[in-house]
Amino acid sequence: MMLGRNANSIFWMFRYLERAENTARLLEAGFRMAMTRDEFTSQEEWRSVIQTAGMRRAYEAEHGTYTGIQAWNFVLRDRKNPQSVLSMVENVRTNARAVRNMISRELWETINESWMEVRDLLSSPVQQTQLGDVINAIRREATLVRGAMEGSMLRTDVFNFARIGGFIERADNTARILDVKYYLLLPTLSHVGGSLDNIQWDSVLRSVGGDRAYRWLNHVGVEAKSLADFLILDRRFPRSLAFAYGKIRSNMANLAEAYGEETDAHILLRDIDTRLSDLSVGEIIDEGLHQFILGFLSDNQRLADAIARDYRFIE
Amino acid sequence: MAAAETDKTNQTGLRAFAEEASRRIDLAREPYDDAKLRKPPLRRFLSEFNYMLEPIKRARAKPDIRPAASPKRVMLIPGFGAHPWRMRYMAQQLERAGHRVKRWGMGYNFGPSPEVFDKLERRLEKVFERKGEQLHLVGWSLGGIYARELAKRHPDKVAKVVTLGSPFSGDPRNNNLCAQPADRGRCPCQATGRDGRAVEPGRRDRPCQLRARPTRRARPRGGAALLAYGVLLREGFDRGDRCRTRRRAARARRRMSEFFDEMRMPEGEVREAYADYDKWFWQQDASWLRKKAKEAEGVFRKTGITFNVYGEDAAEERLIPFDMVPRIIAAREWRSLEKGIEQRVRALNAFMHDIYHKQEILRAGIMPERLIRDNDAFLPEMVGFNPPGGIYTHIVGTDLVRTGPDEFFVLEDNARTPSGVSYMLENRETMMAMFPELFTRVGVRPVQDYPRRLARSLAACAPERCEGRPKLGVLTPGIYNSAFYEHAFLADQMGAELVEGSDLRVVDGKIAMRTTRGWRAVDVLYRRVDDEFLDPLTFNPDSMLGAAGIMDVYRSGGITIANAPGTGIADDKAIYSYMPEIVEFYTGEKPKLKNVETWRCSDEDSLKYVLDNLAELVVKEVHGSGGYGMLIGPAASKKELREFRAKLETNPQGYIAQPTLSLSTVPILTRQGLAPRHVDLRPYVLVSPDKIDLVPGGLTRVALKQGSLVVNSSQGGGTKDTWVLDD
Repeated sequence: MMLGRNANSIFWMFRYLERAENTARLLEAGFRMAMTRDEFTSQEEWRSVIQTAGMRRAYEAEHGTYTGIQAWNFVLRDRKNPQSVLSMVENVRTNARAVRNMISRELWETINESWMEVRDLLSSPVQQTQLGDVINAIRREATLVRGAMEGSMLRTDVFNFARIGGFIERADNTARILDVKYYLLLPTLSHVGGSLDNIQWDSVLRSVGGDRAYRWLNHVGVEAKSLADFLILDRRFPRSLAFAYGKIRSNMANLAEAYGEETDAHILLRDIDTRLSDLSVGEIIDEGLHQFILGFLSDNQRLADAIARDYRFIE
Repeated sequence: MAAAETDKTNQTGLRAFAEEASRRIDLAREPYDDAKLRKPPLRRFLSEFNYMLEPIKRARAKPDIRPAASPKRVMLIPGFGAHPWRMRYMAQQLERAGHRVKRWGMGYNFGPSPEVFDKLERRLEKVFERKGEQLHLVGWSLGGIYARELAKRHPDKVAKVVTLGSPFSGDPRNNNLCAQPADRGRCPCQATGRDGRAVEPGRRDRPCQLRARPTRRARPRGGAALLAYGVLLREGFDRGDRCRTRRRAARARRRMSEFFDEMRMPEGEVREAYADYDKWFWQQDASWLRKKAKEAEGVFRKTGITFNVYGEDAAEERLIPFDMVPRIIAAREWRSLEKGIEQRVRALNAFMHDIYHKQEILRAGIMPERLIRDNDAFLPEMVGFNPPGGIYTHIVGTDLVRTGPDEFFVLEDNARTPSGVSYMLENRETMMAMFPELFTRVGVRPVQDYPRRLARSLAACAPERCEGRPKLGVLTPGIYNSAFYEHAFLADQMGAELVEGSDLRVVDGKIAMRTTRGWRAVDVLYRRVDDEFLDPLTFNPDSMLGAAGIMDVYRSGGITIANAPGTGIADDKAIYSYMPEIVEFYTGEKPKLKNVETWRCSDEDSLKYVLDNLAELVVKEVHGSGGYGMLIGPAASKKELREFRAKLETNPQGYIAQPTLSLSTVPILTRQGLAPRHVDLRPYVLVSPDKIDLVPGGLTRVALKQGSLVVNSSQGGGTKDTWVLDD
């Protein structure tokens, strides 16, 4: 049992952490793509990065063109961008500060130090030569925070809310990436085995940190169907939708056990997860990948709302 | 070692001695040719004492100095610990010969350091550039070494180097003086009356630097200073640093000597409470200590022990500077403080009870009714109400200042919501992490169990309607409050919930907090929210920080609020001025702790006195706190004095005045070494129905600016760990 407000803070703390990390990965993939392309396609690439990150409107209010340095600085540190990595890391810390008495000292110190480091790194505009360092630092901080939690936190509701927040965000992020890039799959989806624009897909895989994992599991080249399968249904891949939901289920089960009761959110969760388990990739594609993703994103959102309501995050 | 010291310190002293000796054993082990080492003739040795006759000789002698054929520009560099005036005589003679003599430009030579050398180089360059003429350097002792080094680095600017008695290498054996008596096996320091002072002037109890070499046969013949000097050179800049440190400290001591220093007596001798610490301190390496100080800051930042300053950007978090020299209170001093505080706190509680019930103190005519009636901190809602356990002030942080050996004064009582206790705990935590060995040497009473004692004390005041173990909550205004860190820290350490107003509501006649499993009752609320914001239904209707209806629950015995609403009246500075009477009235005893003499400006005669002596007094707002809105007469400008005079004349009731106290000082570690700064002390007292519990320690706040008397953290004060020694 804990304060609803604190559960909310913990939940969002890990959502922001996950989002910051995924945004950094997204930037990394975009940067690699743009490097190999001509000016025009590179602008397209940055547009797609900004869109995936859900910052398009805010960005276009500020900038007319999609040059790399503008784009990544906007994503990383622009004060006019409420979703910037910097403000997400700040949000992580603010939330952690609010629940300072519920998390281990180790976790708090890791978060606080990470915040200090990222803040320093992003205190001035990021040049091309620094981008790699900055992205690495953000990814490393996220890993450290997760490690500190894993190693030092009691497995109570605090831990479970943290994990649930993180995985809901992760599922959301992976689905978003797929949503922006799904059209790339379209021309080839109909004829099975058609090969894809390898560099494009490599980039998508990279942005979820799954390029090597995919190759390891699928010895052949990138193929549309197996790729969709990998990102959506593969329970071995830690950033797939099915994996995230598996984790959410187990953490929600822990909560139900600790509290001695299930909530509406549990029912909703079972629905979504069953759908994920019952579907095959073929069915998803027949149903329409885009439709599926839209449906999933809204389910995911509904689940988050249900959890917030059932556990009294806010009044 | 002095007989008064304990065996323990003797042992540690010996251990330190052994460490020092073995560290330097390398020095003594270097191979060298024994045969070449000869003692100086006795005649020569004794002739050294001729220097005592110098003043007489100089007065009579007229050295035959002829004008130089080609006058030179000369720079004189004094020896270690010497000032250019020591070379003035030489300078005069050189000038008589027609040379132009330059000083080295830095006053005392406190030993080599990169900064000193930089300055010297710049000085050389400047003098050279002015005339474009090469310089002749004359260096005495250490100055000679400087001169050589300068010539090496700037051969184009130096014509010649003359050294007077400078060692020509770092090896002390080159000085022909380190010979040891084979039979005695003692070190030269002892043999020559511990003349190790070149290393540390003014120190006599420091363990010896060198180990005797029993194979030596020659007898020591003075000059151990030079020997130690060789050691100094080998050790690089650090020792020199220390010497400088110590001298500056001595000078600062002289300046601050009109104040009571808790570490040293006016003659410079260390007080007993600090003896062990002092010994430890001088065994540490100055640069290492500075490194530690930096580390401590890093730790504080890392752990987020920060506070926000009112009126600044909400996002800005600041550290309260931490000084690593502890403030040490002897067991005997603490015992008497303890008694005094206990008495005062007992009286405070009785006073609170009285003014919210029969008001006998007013009937007895001890204080005017107006002081209570017209006081905003007096809450009519509390009249006739008995708080759970009969306790009003669960936590009191009495601010004390010291002016002499047994002269403690209470400055403020802080019966509302005293803050800062987390610093007391974190400071100790930091000290123990940084200097564990120190705590094995000095018996310091622990403070770490404060949160547990606080939880126990609060639980002992559970309300009537409380089932099972009382559930504790800490009510915080939220993460942007300046003391949020402390709120979270205490909640964490007590295992209490950290709640905000928005988490609370009245459910079934109890205050409940919104949890992930529904509404759960809170029994005892340690609130860090002011009275005014506690209940929008009773007090400030716009408050978002409190819980609507909490006062009703309180009055019906559903919750304990700590401290009780309405205790702020005891923080009123006009009430403060009656504290001696209050103590006597309720306890029937003479007050053990003194009040600072206070003039109530509402009183006509007092006002006249205050206005006449404004420049010598400290004037405070009756309801003010945190060091805001006060006037420190001696430090105020004419304009400020004028403004305050006007304020006093228009609203005399709003002010009290006190003499400017000579607050005691405790040294802090500055870049230049130890320097005394003014301090105050806030011990924390826990009050429960069965006992008054005082944690042996407290928060020592220290004004970091030299001469400043304002210790408030919001105005540039720092903190220190506070040690109460074991018996």
